[in-house]
Amino acid sequence: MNKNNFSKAGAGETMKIIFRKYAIVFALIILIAVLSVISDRFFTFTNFITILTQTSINAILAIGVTFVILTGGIDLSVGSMLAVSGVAFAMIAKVDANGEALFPPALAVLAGIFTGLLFGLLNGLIVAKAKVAPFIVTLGTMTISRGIALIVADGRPVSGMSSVFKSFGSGSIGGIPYLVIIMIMVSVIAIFLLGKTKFGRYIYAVGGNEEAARASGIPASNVKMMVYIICGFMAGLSGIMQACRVVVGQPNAGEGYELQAISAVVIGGTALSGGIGKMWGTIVGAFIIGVLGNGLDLLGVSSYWQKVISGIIIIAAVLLDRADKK
Amino acid sequence: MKKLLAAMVVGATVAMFAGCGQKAEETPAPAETTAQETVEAPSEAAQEETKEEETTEGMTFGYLICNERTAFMLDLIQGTQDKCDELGIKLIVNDSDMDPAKQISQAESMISQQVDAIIVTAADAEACVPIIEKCNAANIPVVGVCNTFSGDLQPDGFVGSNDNQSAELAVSALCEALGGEGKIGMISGVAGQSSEVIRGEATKRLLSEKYPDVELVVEDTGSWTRDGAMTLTENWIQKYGEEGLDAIFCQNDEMAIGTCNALENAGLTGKILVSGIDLIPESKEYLESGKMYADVFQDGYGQGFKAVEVAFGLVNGEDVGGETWIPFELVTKENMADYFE
Amino acid sequence: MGNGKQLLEMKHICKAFPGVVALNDVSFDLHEGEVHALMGENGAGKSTLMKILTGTYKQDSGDIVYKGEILEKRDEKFMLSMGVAIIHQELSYVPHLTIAENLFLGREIVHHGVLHQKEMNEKAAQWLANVGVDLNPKRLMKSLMVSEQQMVEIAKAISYDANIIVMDEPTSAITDREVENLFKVIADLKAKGVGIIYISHKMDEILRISDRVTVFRDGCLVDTFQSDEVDIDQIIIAMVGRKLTDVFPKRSVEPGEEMLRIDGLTRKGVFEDVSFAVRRGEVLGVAGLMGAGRTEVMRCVCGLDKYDKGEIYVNGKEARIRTPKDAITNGIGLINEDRKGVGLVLPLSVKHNLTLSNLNKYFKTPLLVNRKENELADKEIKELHIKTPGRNYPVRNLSGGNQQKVVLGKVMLDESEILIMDEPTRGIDVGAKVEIYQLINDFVKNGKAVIVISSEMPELIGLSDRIVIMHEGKLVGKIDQKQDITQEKIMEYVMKQ
Repeated sequence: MNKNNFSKAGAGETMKIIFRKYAIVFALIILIAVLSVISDRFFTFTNFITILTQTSINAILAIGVTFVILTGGIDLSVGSMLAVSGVAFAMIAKVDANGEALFPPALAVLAGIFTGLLFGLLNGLIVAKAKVAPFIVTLGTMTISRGIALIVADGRPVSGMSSVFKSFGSGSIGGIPYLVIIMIMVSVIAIFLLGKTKFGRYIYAVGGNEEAARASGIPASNVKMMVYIICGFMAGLSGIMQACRVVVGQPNAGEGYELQAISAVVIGGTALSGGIGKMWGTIVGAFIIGVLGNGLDLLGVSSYWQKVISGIIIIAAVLLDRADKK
Repeated sequence: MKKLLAAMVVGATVAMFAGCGQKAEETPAPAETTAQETVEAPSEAAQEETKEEETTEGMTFGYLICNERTAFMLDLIQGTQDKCDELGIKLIVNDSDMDPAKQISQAESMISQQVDAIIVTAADAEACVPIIEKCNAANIPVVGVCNTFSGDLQPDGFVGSNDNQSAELAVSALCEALGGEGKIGMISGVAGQSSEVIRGEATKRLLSEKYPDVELVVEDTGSWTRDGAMTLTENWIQKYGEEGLDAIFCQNDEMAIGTCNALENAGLTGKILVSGIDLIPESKEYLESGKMYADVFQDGYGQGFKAVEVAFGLVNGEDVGGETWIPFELVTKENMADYFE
Repeated sequence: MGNGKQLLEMKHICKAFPGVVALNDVSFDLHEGEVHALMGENGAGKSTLMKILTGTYKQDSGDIVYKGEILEKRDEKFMLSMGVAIIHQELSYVPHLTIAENLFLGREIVHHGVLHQKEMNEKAAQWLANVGVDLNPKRLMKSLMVSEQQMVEIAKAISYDANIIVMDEPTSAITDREVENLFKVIADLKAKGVGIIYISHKMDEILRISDRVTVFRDGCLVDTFQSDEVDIDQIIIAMVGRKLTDVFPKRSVEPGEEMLRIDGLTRKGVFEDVSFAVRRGEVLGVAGLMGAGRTEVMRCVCGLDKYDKGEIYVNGKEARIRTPKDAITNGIGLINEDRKGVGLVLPLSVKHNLTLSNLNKYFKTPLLVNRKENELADKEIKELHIKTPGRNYPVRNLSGGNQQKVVLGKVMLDESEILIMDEPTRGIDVGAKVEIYQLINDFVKNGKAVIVISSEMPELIGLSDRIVIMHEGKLVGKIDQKQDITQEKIMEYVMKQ
């Protein structure tokens, strides 16, 4: 294996490597191109804004889940955490009979975020300190947080929130909805955190080989705890966003969202075994799901078929990824 | 996962109600605060009454609810609970989370607890028929409420509203407003559930029979949820715009509100009309402001209330069986004041 | 001498991977009852050739003739059924199953659809005895020492009654006594007419047991020698293309003050009351058989395990070492025997592995500066001659020797003052070995202290200034003068126990 052997990779080879590395980006572009051709309603500014808005919540959840999956863990509780955070937020965001806010808006936001963080911390403590398998822990907290959401909200949607939040949920600045702006900000921070900081590197190391990471002096269990807290934060944030969007705190919100988030992560090329993956991949993955849902609605494909198609996409993405690694 | 969740909810519910039941005689208050936020003074008064009235002492009814996750279902429970409180009957509520198999086993355990009557909102029209068989075998009166059973074997009594009527009311309100001519879309509930099937079929029948010039251009499921309908409507707006769609019928109010929000965000309020079913409290604002054109009131509370009445009559050997219909009522901006006090 | 008739012929084999030509027109043959040794640096093509033989890879061109027939479609299972078994260098076993269950994996003995545990355990015990290992076949694989696992692997390959057995570095992880057992087994197999392909980096072993030696370099077959007509120098020249004068380069460093002292260190049930010290500018060797507790002591010193009693002093001050981080802050670096388990994060790149343990040292804020990190990585890649297509290449895909260099580079970047090396050259070719010896010399010249654990006696003796000997969890002797260190003397301490 001398230098000459390596440099034999010519221009064609390089193109191949680039194509493989960014395969899902090409997949998204192709998807958009195809949809633009077969539907004249697809390729418009307003429709792209629609897609961005619809994807923002799943994208943020998926970003949180990516951190967890990169350490080799899993978080099934994000959908329920979203619900319980949304309910907590909506209860504090309520107005009284005269339309006056009961509490300052910031407090409502804090309540939502804090609820997410709390459940994230719970997940993190049990996974990292008590060393219980994350699948089991988050399966448990998934039902616990859903139950708490239902108990607190008495099974009914918590309505009557201050109009500030309604305009946050549906408003925009310069044509870009606030929800999308939040998503972009979160994406940028997440990409930065994972790619440019020690903490990000530690996440990869813990996921790649926890024992080796520990031997290198990395506080592996703290890193693991932290990713669940981040994931809880993201769930809390998206819970607030969801509540603002539909102007109500639904205790049964976010059912199945955990699987959609995990789908985005997997389509984005992150290995469920941990240690391998990219944050931008997850974001692209979320958009593949979002574009597909929107596009198929525009084409009038029934939601039954949409389920079949999204399933195929997930499996195809993993196969593509595996072909890449061979 | 859903099952686990449901098990927890049911467990919690049973524990609560059981706890309440035991303490009911000495301390009625906890029952209200823990389980039923909205139970108010009347029921307390009712309980006071029952202390004096000894005839129903120790009587227990069981209520098998298909799920308690929507406002309507909670109204049903509320009506049932209030009537039971009034009569001094202990009520056990079990939630099957839409799982018929689970509902059957819940019925079995109620039978073994020797409840005096069973009220059931079936999780599935066909799969839940064994509940009737088992109650008959155990000689326990069984009353269906809200959801119908299919087949020859029917419960001893049935209280409900004719679901065909609900969709007819909501859709014809839209068609009339459009002058009998236009394009509408329909957002349905979870596919395959009986109310979704009946409302969908009724809509299509009504259009073909009475409004041949109204075209159903698109239909899809919003899974009964607000965000589901909102996303769907956003995509429809992209596809059809203002011209391609004149009205949207949503099979429940949660979805109707989601649709209203999406239309409002796109500046299409009033340009595309919306109707829903259920008349949940939040709909008041939407009807008032004209975001929602029409709504249909299904009297869940009344159904639950009536169901206990029927069951109580059956226990006492009265001839109150058969079907009791609680009618649907169309609610618009004009008459909404009667429904929101 | 392989005088039997020809068993296998591989003709004009070529194989390329994306970007790398792994084998270039290689022809190779094997006779009945012959031990044919393969030598060459890591990445020279030996393992690729063997993977083609056993059906893991398919050659791009060339033929494989086995017992006079050309083999067309092949896979691993087929080749095994044809009588070609391999003892892998990388152990492959299911850790949570027992020895017997691992030995019978895929060919369980079944009576009426039910597993016949008793018979399998009995047979497994028999097979283990055949290779001279006394282990209870009901023990879990994960509970065994690496050397014991290796012996199980050998027993497994032999149990297939194969015509050809490929042994890829079978002795890299086993003790001297086990090596002797293995050689006896090889002699038996030869007598039965089995052909053995033997890959190893250990010259003395190869010259002792092989009939012919074939040397590879950079994907090409350089030469094939008759073992009784060749000497070590000729082989080394063929392997590396140059002459290696001094395997253990001389050095003259006066040891300085004491840097690390272990006092009465005890981990219950594993080792007890271990005390030794190492000074600036010296190499301390720790001798002992596999399972003597050497690795376990070092794991405690590096914070990977907790000790129950005793003290560790660094530069005269007591250091409380509870986590690997404590060890790194105290300037103690570990090159672990378990490269893949503890040393490296395989999916990460060369660069990320190199800087993993020292990010805090070079980056004071939580942010990483790409350019600086690249410089650090490039420096080590250059200094240690790590052969990699680039710093961003996954370390998983490097050869063993280069992976080990990455582990060394990591410790270099840590600027550790005290280096603990557990089997630093395990599974590494001669060229890389000498480079690592040279590096160890550089360390001590620069005033660092080095502790070496090695199962290769000549290596231990050649490297160490002083030696301590461990046996069954206890320190049983020490040799303080370099000139007194001999294999006999070390064995004497071990055997006296």
